[in-house]
Amino acid sequence: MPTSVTFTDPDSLKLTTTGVLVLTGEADQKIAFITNPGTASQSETFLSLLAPSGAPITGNPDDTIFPNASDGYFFIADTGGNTVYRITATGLAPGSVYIDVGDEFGILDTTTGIVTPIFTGVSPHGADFVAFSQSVPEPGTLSLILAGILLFGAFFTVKRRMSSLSCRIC
Amino acid sequence: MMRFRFLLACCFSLAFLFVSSVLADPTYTVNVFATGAAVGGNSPDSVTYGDGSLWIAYQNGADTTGASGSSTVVRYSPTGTVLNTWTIKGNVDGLNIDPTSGLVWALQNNDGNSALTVINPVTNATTAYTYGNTYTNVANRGFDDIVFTHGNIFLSETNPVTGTDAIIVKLTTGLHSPLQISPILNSTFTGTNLPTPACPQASPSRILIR
Repeated sequence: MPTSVTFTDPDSLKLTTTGVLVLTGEADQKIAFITNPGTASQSETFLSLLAPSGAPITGNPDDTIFPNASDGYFFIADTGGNTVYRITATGLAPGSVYIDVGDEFGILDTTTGIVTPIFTGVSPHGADFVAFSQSVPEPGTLSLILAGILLFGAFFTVKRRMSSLSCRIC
Repeated sequence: MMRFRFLLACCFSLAFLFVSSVLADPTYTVNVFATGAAVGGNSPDSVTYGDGSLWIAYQNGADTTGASGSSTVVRYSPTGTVLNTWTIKGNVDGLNIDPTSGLVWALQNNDGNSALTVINPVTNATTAYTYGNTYTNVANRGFDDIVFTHGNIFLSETNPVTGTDAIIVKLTTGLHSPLQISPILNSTFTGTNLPTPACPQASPSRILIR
């Protein structure tokens, strides 16, 4: 049921992977989704943000992030901490949404408005997501795969030499 | 035979890695990517990735109406090496990259006297732009963020006073001064309130701090 709503503190403006505009109302503690922006068929929905308890969130929201891959990096500017963090994320669910709220960066359930924190800083503000395929490969993952292959190779080589050596002794 | 076993073991290990990565819960590993201290800046705010680099705007406490101070925009390599820095007058709040041109748009002064500086990532040159008379520039109002989509450019506008004040506008001119805008969404609008049942969410999955 469409209803009237007022955004008094518009701030961050982002884009979903399907081209929907997302506006954050900081003091309003809401986000608005604008479909087909600037066209005759433009329409709006909005969502109030809640803490995991179901109570209103404490702190103001800022950037919303819509990862376009299951694995990648979140880059978070912690304004108060004067630090930019890189969060290496794997296994993200398709369509998952992340958002800064107060001193936290968390995952947003868009069916309920509940934000569950995954990282706590001082005051995270700006954020972006970069899929592994857009960036340099994750060294840890590559190293693990190569190390695994080399380990198996080394194991079988040693085993082979040991068995040929034992045959010679016999 | 040995070679066959070796290949079989490799296949099993790769399959295990693939299956476990598909079925696993999300994992998050936190690292420090950069600090303001390293570039003589503070208060990092806007973050955007493009042109193969990560771009950060440090606001340095500059006034949000442009009355004083300057911001520092830093271009980092994906591994955190500083590639270049730019000093931009006022408070940069809103940084994004035009996917068509690759130009980096830095919005200045989100609470009044808004202006725009565009960085050319190839030449490192900057160009300043001003808004035209469609930007009312009443007290506290300015542009905070920017999105490029399907050839259109949208900006969020701050601090509406009445319900008929615009909060999202579309840039109606190309990239040349004076930049003109047209509203697409007002402060008070009619929309569907998505359901918000009060039910706790499952606890987040593994988090690793390094």
